[in-house]
Amino acid sequence: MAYEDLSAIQLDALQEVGNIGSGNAATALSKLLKMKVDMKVPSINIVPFDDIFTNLGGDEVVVGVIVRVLGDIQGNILFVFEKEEALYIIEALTGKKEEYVTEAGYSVIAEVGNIVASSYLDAISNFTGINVVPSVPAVTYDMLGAILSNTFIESDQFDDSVLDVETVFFHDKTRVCGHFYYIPKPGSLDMILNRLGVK
Amino acid sequence: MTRVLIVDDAAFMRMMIKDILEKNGYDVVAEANNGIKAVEMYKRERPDVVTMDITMPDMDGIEAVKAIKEFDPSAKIIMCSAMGQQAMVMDAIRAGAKDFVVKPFQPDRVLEALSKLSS
Repeated sequence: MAYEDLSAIQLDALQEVGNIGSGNAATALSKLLKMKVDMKVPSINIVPFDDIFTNLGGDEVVVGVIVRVLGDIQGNILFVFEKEEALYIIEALTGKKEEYVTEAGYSVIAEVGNIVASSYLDAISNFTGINVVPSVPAVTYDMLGAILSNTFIESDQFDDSVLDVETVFFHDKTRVCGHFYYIPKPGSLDMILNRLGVK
Repeated sequence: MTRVLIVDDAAFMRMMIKDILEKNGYDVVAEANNGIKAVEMYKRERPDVVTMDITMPDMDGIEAVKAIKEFDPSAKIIMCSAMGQQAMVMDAIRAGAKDFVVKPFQPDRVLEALSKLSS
């Protein structure tokens, strides 16, 4: 299926899948950080592959956690933090203020990614009845454009246009906490939509 | 027959909830896809019960609950959201919501919340 051919109700259903995943992920993040976590309405982004790198902020260096989606649907979860935010989260969880992200810090971020991605996938699995299993997380420190384009390629998405489900989490009303992307492998969307009865 | 207003930005979720309710003898009198429309529809239809999502564009569900309660302090509103964290549930209850159903939900959980409120 070409992503441009998705109908309004199909996009709406996918957005709700993203909403349910993200809402539960926000709950997990909130428990972990012991603070209220808000989120924006999730968006379904369909963009030309070539635009990923050139997009605004593509050359910004960020901390990313990648979790592979295994099971009956496949793809990748990518949770991205600005460096300052990663340090803030590490401090919130360990009590240690760091100047840069250390090995121990990366392991904290990996665990945050693991918990948040697992809640997201659990919720999607409960909602759709599809068996979904998260892999162990991998942490990377690189340009946002590089991390994103690699994750799309890992998800077998390298056609003219690619699709992701994005949520922005924030706390203290406006402070951005992280960007969360669900990047499904082709075929996964059809399965999700079929299970939800949206043709 | 209990008259219900369904508020959710996702048409798909409104369809799902509507289906559950109509199969169980509820009358869905209106739907709204954001908080502003929810307040407008509440004033027009005066439903017995409202199901309210939280994360919505323009006006979120918590703000909408406050606005509806200001208009009608006896309004019965059930939150129906994926944002199940404690702070969010407390915000909703403080705003005047009577119950909180976390998505993804089992149909029985929605029906139970409705029957508690409409009895």
